[in-house]
This record gives sequence, structure tokens and C-alpha cells, in this order.
Amino acid sequence: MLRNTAVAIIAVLAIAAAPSLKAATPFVVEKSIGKETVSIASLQVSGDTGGLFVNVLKQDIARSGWFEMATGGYGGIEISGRADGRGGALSTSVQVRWGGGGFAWGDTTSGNVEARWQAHRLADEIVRRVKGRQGIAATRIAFVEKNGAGGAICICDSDGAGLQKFHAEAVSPLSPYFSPDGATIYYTSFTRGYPCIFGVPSKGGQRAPIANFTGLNTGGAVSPDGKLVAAVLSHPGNPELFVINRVTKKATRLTRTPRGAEASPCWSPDGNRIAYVSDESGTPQIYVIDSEQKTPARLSYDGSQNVAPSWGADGRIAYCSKRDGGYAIVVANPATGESTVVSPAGADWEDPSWAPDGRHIVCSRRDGRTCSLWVLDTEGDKPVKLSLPFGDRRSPEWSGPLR
Amino acid sequence: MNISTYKAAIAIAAVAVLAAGCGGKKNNNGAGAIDDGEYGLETYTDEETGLALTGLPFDQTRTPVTDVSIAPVYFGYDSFQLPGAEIAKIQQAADILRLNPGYVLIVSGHCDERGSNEYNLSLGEQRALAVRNCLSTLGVSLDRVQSRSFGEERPAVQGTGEEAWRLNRRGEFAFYR
Repeated sequence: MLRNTAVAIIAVLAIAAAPSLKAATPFVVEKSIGKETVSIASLQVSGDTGGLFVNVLKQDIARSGWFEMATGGYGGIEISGRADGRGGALSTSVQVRWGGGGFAWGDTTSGNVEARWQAHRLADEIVRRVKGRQGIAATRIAFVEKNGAGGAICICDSDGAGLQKFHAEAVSPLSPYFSPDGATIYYTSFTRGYPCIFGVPSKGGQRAPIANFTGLNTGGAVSPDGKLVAAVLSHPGNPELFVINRVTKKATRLTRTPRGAEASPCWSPDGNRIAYVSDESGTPQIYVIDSEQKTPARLSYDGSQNVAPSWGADGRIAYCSKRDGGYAIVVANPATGESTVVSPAGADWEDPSWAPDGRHIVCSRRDGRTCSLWVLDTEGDKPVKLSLPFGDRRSPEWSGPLR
Repeated sequence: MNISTYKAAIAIAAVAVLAAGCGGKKNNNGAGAIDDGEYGLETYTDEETGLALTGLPFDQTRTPVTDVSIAPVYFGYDSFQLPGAEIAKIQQAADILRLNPGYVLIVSGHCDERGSNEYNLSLGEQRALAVRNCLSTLGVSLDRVQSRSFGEERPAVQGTGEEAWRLNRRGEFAFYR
């Protein structure tokens, strides 16, 4: 009897001890930190364009970096309503709801291209309303595609769809740069036999000369207010940074470096400053100059060569840095110059350009003799290759938000 | 012919038009055509000097001189300094310009493939200008010499490695009358 009681007591104690044994065994749930889940389980979809809309929407939501699609039926953010895609048209009437709020959204378009862009606009609206951030889905990326010695300016949607190639040029063009409204691409072309800056409509059509003075015309970059073009010109007898005004026809010199050359200007979001490359110190480095006072300040000190700056919407400057024998993308605080590498080790990464969310960066990665385009994330998501057919591509430039 | 053959013929013709257009004016996405049209050369003023900036490169208004050629001037890595051994070629160019008062010269500057394409465009221009400045010290008037750069975009030698790089870091001479 005593022995049975002892067994019973031991059993009770064992059972009592069991929960703490359970707690001592770690129970790990795989979860991306900080990403809210989105569910479209309640969205009624019909027709081919409806299906296309939903597929593009899901990809845009994931690519924003802020969300992931819910695997079960429920998510922190619920999208319901309908996407009616019969007959090639797409009519949407959608409700998006989450703990803190919600909104209604709808549109009617025709054709597949417009169906994709409906998805892009809705994805960006979700990012704006839920996170208070600018989305990147309704945007485009311009770049140079090389073909032997020649090449062409190209443009595609932020997901790689809608690839369009401009005029094939016998000597590869350089440095595409979007106008603030995305309607024009400024770039350097050799079709006249020497480097000239042209502006070509993003939708194709007649291009206009921007700077075609004898000598060097390159680095065409339009200011955020659209009124000025930064450019590297050489009429002083040396390549120097200028700002030209297409209305007054005046060229204002910003740099004075008889032994050094400038390259790759880009504007700050407020249009008051320009980041650019100068090798006045002996090696190419990143400088920032105030477009009024013309006093340059060196930004980069790490790495042996620092080139290709891009100024992001939140004020950080990305550029390509040669360090430890390879090329990496770094992001710098313009006030302190402190820089952080944001590209993975083990490859050469070049030509960064910020997405309008101030978080993602499109750049090129060298793969042997050719380069491909990738999107990096400064918040820690893995790099994603831009989905395009095989090609040798570099110098990508991300547009601002488009209609 | 009957309707289906006619439709097939149109389809084949359409594909042929698209295929023929791929490398040239129009591509199969329709955005490719670039038409420069007629545009006048605009004049800008340098705000500081009051000088006019115009675009009249010699090769747009003159014909090439084909019976003269000088070997390219070669440069060191990431440099636009003129090595002493190269000055003799520039002297040759100065002599040709002195003997032919109607000749003008375009010096083009080039780089090897290493480094950013944009930065190399500026470096190529510095190389061309270094040759131009040297010609000036040899008595040639600066308005007879224009510079242009191709950066790394027009290599003399395809391929990689020290020898290809050396042959691509160059300034070339092209005379016009």
C-alpha cells in the first residue's frame, strides 16, 4: 500500500514536473520579424485579367519588403471584394482592412498591361496606408543593355515586366537618369560621334539634345524641380561639374579642379545639393556640393575608389566602393560620412540607385563577363534578381512613383 | 487565294517586319524608334566667363584626312600624365598641323575596362585634353584641336589582362580638312 502510494506520489510529482520539462524544450516558430501578413482569401477573382491582377498584387506585396502573404486563411491585413477580369477588362472593387483601419479601392481598366498597373497602384496604396511609406510597385527601372561593343537604353517595370528597348547604338550609351515625373530619361549617347546628353521620352519617340558642346557632355541629371540639369562639361579645359538652365541658357560652373575630373552627379531630394565623383584627391571619391555656395565636402574615406552615388529619399547616399579587392554597395549618412556595406560578399556589385521607398536599391552584379540587375534591401531581406531574360545589363536607375 | 492562306500570309509578313525591325528603328515593343529630327545647335553662355558654348565638332563640318596616321599615345593606369616616350608622337601631330594650315585635329581619349563607365568617360577626356595641352605648348593654336572621350566604350583591343588594358589606355589622332 505504502509502495503504491509512493508510486502514486512519484507519478503525481512526475506529472507536475512534466510541464516544466516541456517548457525546457525550445519550441521554435519560423517567423520573419516585423512583417505583417496579408490575406486575399476573401477576394473574389474572375477571368484571366483578374487572375493576373491577383498574381501581380501578391508579388508586389511581398517585394515591398513590409509584408508577407498569409499561408492560412487569415492575415493581419485582409483584402476582400472582387476583381472581375472577364472579357479582357478588369473591374476591381476592393476593401482592405487591418486592426488600425481600412480603405476602399477600385478601378476599371482594359488589357493586361493596365491590369498589372492596377495591382501596382493598389500594392503601393496598401504600403502608404498601413506603413506610411512610399511604395515601389508603380515604378520603372531604366538601364543600359550592352550588345557587344554597342548597346541600348532600356526600361522595364519594377518587377521586370514590360521590357522595352530603345534605339540600338553602335557605341554603348551611358548613365540613364529619370526626370522627376518619370516621363523623360536623360542619358549620354555617342550617336553624334562624341558624348552628348539627350532626353528621350520614357514611352519612346523623338529625343531632344540637352548638351552637345564640343568636348565632353555627360552625367546629365535633372534637378527634383525639373528646372536644372547637372552635367560634366570640359570647355574650361578640364572636365568640371556644371549646372545648366535650359530656360535661361546659362551654364553655371560648380567645381574648380584643374588636376581632377568630376563624374556622376546626382541631386539631393530637396534639390539643394549634388553628390558626385571627383578624383581631385588622386583617387575617385564621393563629394557633396551645395549648388548655391559651391563649397565641396568630401564624403567618402573608406575604400580605394568610391563612385556612382545615388541620393535616397530619406537622405542617405548609396555608392559603389572598392574595398578588400572587390566592389560593394555602401550606404552612407551624409552628415557623418559613416558607411555600411549593404551588398553580400563574394561578388562585385556596382551602380546603385535608390528606389523611392528609401529602403531598396537596384544595382548591377558582375557574373563573369556580363552583369545582371538585382534589388538589394537595406532592412535585411535577401537580394532579389530582377526578372528579365538573359542579357548584359548595368547602370540601372529607379524612377520615382509613377501614375 | 482563300481567306486562311491570306491571313497566314499577312501573319508571316507581320512577323518578318517585326523581325527585321529588331536591330534597327523599331523593336517589337514599339518604344524603340528614336527620331532626332531637325534641331538647331543651341548656344549656352558660361555664366562666369560670358563665353558662348557651342557644339560644332570638326567631324560634322569637315572631311577626314585619310593619308595621315600617327600611332596612339599610351597612358599609365588611372592617369592622364603623358609619359616622356609618348611626346614624340605629339610632336609629329604638331608638325603635320604646322605644315598643313588648313588641317584641324580631334584627339579622342580612351580607357581600359576597369572602373566605373562614367568615371572613365571623364578620365578619357582628361587624356585627350592632356594631348591638346601638349600641342598648345608645341605652338599649335587651341582652336585647331578638339577633344572627345569614349571612356571604355570603344576599346582598341577586346579582352582582359595587362596587355589589352595597356593598348586601350590611349589617345588617338584624327585629322580633318
